[in-house]
Amino acid sequence: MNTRNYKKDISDQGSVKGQTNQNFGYSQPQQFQDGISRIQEEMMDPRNIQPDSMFLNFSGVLECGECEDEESLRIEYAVKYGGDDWTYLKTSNNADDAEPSGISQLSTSRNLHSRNIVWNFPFECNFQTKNIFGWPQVVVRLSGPDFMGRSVAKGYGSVHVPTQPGYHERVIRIFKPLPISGFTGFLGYLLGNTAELKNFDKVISSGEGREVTRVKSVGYVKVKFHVTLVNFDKFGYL
Amino acid sequence: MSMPYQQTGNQIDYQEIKQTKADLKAEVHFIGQIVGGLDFQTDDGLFCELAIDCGDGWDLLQPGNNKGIQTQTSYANPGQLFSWGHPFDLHFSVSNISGWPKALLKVWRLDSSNKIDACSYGTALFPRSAGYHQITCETWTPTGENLDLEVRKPNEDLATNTDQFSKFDRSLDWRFQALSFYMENPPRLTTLAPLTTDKGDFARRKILNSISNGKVIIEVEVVMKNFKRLSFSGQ
Repeated sequence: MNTRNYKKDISDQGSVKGQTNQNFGYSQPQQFQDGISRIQEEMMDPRNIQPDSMFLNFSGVLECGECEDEESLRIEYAVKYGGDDWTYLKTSNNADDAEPSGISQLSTSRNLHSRNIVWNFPFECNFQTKNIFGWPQVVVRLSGPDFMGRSVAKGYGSVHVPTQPGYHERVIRIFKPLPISGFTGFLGYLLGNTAELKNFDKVISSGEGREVTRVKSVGYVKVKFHVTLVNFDKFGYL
Repeated sequence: MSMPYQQTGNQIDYQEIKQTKADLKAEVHFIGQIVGGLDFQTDDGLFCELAIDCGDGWDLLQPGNNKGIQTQTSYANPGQLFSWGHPFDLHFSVSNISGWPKALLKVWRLDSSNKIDACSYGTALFPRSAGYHQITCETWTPTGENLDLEVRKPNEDLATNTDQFSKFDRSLDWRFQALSFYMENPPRLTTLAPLTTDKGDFARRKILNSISNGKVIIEVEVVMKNFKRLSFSGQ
C-alpha cells in the first residue's frame, strides 16, 4: 500500500480551493476499537521496521583444560573485536567493564592420575555492529605458580565466537612461547621471568608480528558458547 | 509487501529506504584460524604460509592487503599438534561465483641451525555452506621431476621410441635422492602454480613426483550475505 501518497494527500487537502473533505479515491483510515489505524499498526510492527544495526549477544563458559604437567592454573580471557564497526555494550557504568575481560579462580587438578583442571568460568558479552568483519574472538591466557610460587604465564590461545545461533562447543589449543636460548630459559626459570607475551590479547588476536616467535604446544581448553543474533536476517545474513 | 519504515527516535517517521545496488550484492565472510599441523614427523620447528587464491569475480574488501599469512614457528613432541593458532578474517564481495577461494599452503621447516627450508605444500578449499567447518588439508613434498613425460607425445608407444630410455627418471635415481637427503634440501616448487587450478600452469603438475607429508588443520566459519536472495545455494 502506498502510504507516501497518503501523507501528501493529507497535507495537500487543505490547500486545494473548494475541495475540502474530498476523498481522491483513498479510503478513510479504518478506526479500530483501541484507536490505532491499520496503517499505524503496520508501521509499528517490528517486521516492517528496517533497523540500523545488528546485535550479537553471546555467553559461554570456560569449562576445563589441561596444560602439560601443570597442577594449578588460572585462566584469564579477553574478547577482542574489530575496532571501527563494532561497539561493546557495557552492562554497567563501571570503568573496569570498559573492555570485556575476566580472571578466574586458581584451580587444581583432582588427583595425580588426571591433569584435567576445572574452572567453569562464565562470561557474557553484548555487541552492536554494522559489519561482520572484525568478528569477536576470545583470547585466553593460562597462568599459575612456578616453583617459587610466583605467578607466571603457562600458555596462550584464541578462538572465534561461533557465527551461528545456538549452543556450540569449541576446543582452544594452547601454546607457550619458547625462550630465545637455553641460557635465557634457565635464567628466566630461576628469576620468574619466563618467556611471556606483553599485551597478549593484541598479539594473539591480530596475528601480526608473530612470524618470528617460537612456541610449543602445551595443552587445550574446552569452551562452551551460546549465541543469539539480532537483526542479522534484515541485513541479508542468515 | 509493505515498504520498510525507518524508526527515528521516538517518532515513527515513514520514509522510503532506497536500497542501493550494494545491498543486493552477494558477500562472503571467512572467519577462522589456522589451528596447527599434525603428523609431520620431524623434530624441527614448523611454520605455515597461506596465500588466498580466488577467481576474477571475487573482490577482497577487507583486510585491505592480500599479502598472505605467515604463522609462528611451533615445536611439538611426536604425535602432538604443531600449534600455530593464527586467526584470519576475510570479507569478499562476489560478482561471479566461479573461482571459489582456496588457501594455498606452504609449510616451512626451521632446523636447529636456524635455517629455513620448504617442507611441504597443500591446497585447502574453503567450504561452500554457512556455519562452522574444520578443514584438514593433507600436504605433500615434491621429490623430483619426471621430465620425459613432457617430451613424449601422447599415444606414442614406448617400444618404438627408444630415445625415451636414455632419459632417466631423475627423482627415482639413488644419487639424487641421497644428495637431497644428506644435504637436507628436498626439491621445492618455484611457483605456487601447480597448486591451483585458476592459474595457467596447473597442467605442469603431471611431471611432479611427490611423497606424502602431514596435515594442516584449519577451522573456519562461513557467513554469507544475500545468497538466499540471489538463489545461490549454501546459506
